[in-house]
Amino acid sequence: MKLTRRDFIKSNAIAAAATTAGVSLPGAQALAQSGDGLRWDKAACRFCGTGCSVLLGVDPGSGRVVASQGDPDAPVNKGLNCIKGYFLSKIMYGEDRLTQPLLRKKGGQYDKNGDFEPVSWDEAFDVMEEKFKTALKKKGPTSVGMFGSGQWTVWEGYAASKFMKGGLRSNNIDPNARHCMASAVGAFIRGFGADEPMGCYDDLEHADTFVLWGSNMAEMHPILWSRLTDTRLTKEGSQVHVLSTFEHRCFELADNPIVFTPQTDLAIANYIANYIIQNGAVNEEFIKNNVNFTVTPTDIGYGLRPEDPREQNAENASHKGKHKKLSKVSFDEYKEMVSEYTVEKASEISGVPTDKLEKLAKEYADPNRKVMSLWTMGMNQHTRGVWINGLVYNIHLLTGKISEPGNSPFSLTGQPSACGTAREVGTFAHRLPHGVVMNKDHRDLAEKIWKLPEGTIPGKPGYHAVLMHRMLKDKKLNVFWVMCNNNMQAAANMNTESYPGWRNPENFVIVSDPYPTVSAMAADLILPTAMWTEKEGAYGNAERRTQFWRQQVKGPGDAKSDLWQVMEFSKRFKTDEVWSDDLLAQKPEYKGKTLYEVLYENGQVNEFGTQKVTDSDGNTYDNDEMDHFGFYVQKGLFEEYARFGRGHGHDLGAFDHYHRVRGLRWPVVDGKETLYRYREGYDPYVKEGEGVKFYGKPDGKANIIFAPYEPPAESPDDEYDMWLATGRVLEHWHSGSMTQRVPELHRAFPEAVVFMNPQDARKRRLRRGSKVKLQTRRGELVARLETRGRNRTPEGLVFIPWFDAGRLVNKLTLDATDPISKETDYKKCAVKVVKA
Amino acid sequence: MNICSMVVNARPEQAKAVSERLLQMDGIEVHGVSDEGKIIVTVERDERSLQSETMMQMQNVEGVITTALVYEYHGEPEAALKEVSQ
Repeated sequence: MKLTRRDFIKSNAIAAAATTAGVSLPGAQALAQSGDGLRWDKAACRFCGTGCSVLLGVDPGSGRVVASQGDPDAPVNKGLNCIKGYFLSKIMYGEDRLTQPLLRKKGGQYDKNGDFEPVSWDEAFDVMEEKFKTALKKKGPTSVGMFGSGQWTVWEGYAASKFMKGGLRSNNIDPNARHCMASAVGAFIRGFGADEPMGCYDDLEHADTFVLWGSNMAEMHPILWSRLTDTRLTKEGSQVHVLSTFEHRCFELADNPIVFTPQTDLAIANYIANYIIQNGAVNEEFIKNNVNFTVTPTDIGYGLRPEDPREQNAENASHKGKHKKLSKVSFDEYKEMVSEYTVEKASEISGVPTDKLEKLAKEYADPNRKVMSLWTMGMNQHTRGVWINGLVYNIHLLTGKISEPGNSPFSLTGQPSACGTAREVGTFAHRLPHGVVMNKDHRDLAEKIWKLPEGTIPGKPGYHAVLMHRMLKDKKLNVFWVMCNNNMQAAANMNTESYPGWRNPENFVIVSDPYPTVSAMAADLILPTAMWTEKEGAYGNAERRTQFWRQQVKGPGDAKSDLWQVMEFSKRFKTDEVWSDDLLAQKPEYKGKTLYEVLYENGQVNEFGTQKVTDSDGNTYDNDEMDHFGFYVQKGLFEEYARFGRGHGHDLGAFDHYHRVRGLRWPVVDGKETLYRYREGYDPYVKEGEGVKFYGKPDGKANIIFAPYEPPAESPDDEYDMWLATGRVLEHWHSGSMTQRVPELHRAFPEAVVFMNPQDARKRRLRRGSKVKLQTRRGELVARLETRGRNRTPEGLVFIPWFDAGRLVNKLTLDATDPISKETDYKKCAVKVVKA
Repeated sequence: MNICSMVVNARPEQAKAVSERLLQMDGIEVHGVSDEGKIIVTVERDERSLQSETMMQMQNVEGVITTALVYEYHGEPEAALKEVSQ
């Protein structure tokens, strides 16, 4: 039989799908991939925090990725990809890829009001160097900052953090993960003393009941949703409860669909705790051995500027520093506090019928039901985000439904390495790898591992994401390097804070990106970035799984990875220029050395020499950073970073191990991953006879933290009479900076539409498909009205996705944040909608 | 040449009806349906834009709960006709 390449590829495609679905097709030939002339290798997906593994087929002739397949050996996605996976092989090949540095110039010189002109890397770094050094000299390290990413690879985040905190001595480094994960982190630290989920994705098969607390998994985490769907459709008696402020795709599978008034999840969670207590469903033994009861300060404001009346009037506003210290209470006192949250009261506050609330509470209370709670931005982007995360843990702790298969409070992540890079490496303004800058012991350890003089790392947290834009506007932060994110589009309150800050004549803003995003166009210097598999990388997903990939292809033109950019730029600084004499006196051998030499040629990062990168089939791969710097940069950085966590509950495996496997879930002890933390038999840190031990806390006990319902920062009133919620759609990932480059994807969901209830449209005499104007106290935008389709909003609420650079939703949003986590609430502010 | 294979999930009792609805779309072939409601589909359109539109539209077909991509190839048309084996 003669086979064309098309026949061959098609039968491969069918066989792969049939195998993945467990369907046997007699006609389908399982042909080996080795016959298609492509080089296949694994990589972690570039998009969300699920952490799917994909196989990429590189055509040796063109050196391009031409095919992809869900990785059948990957435990996360078991051969499947979501629709976004279709675009993975295309995101590197958008027509407007940046291939050389671009600087705003007039008359051959840098000029803030000039037009972008191509420049060499040398010229780009010359201008950057001058700007950094001038700012450092004039105002010190707090005047420079970097805004990084949960999409940085592990070693990129690590190298950047080291450069800023250990090199320039500035804690002004924060990731865009602040916008999506910070509340989850805050709750993990307060509740358990250690970040990241105790359970793992295996719970999607073990649980009987799934509760979505503010997550549109069907669109945002489709592969996890398909695993959940499989369980729901095949396990008898299993249930799905979906809570949201509007109906979305997940409601199609919901056994108990719950639409609640924004912010009132606080009341619902407290009601469930109360129900558990009132119905004798508390796991008394578990509580006695494993839990402390506490209460959090209330009336803590909304993380706005301190002058805002809402901050002035809040008794424990964050600028007063009294917003987060927990007080111990007795179990009886806790019972008393939640007792006011009766089903009637919860129903009245939330607008949810009592029978739906009771149906939900029963699932948690029933000792024979295993419950997995899942959430993402609905709970994290919340002015009481740390509180609501904690209230859900309270429910799991009261019933002991935690740290075992199927019983699993599970915080999902939005970015591919929000966990691996932002949270574990600690690229936040207050963090160090597995530590915080405020703690002298943690600083000492970092300085010891980094071989830096004692006192190099400042003890005061730097500016967090939202504060960075405020400080730019206030001219206190003057040089700002934005890497691997699109914060001009992503940050709230663009008109009032972000844009004036970036364009302030005293400030210099650098954006490193593969594409001319809204942020790049608002910058003064654009650096072209080699992305994803144009470099060797590592990501850490939501279930603590660290995954590696090899460099598959070359970046276009002069594009360089973020790792190259940070390390190469560090050569521009001498220790004498950025460190005090006291520091240098401790390490006189560092005098006259560059930061590059001190930070990256320290005998550790450059420990591993150049080598050929190969896979088990003998294929060879490029490693452009290794070629350039003359040592195995990624391996050296990873192994140095891993010193922080090994032996402390955050153990990572050996570098080479990760290249052979489909990821490992930390702690990895003796080469073995950990599925469930804090439980004997699963977690190597829990000794025989200890049962459950929350060892992140000194006494081994987790905190149940009472927090009440408090109203949001801005609610609808007579003038701005509707709620505005923002979010994502399946086809576009986040700000669309990658997905909008793929023309066909752009056509599938070309522009952001406003989803509105038909009744609301009728009342305002607005027609579906017509242009409407959305106005808030901060700005306005025009978009088309949609009253049908995938998102069905209740009366009084509109939803608009934020991916569209032509409709910048964050002109409308308020930069109210959770005072504890500093994460912005993008899910609720007041808006009016009129005819455009 | 654009070829994708996908797995479409439907409720088992609706799987047959869903696969018939899918078959009415251009460029879609159904290769099998499992007892659990998993439908094996290929999508093949000449133009990449049509390819992705078809994939997106599948999401909106009545009864479809989830769709997942398994394999995806895009290459020059002439390469597709080359004989590779006998």
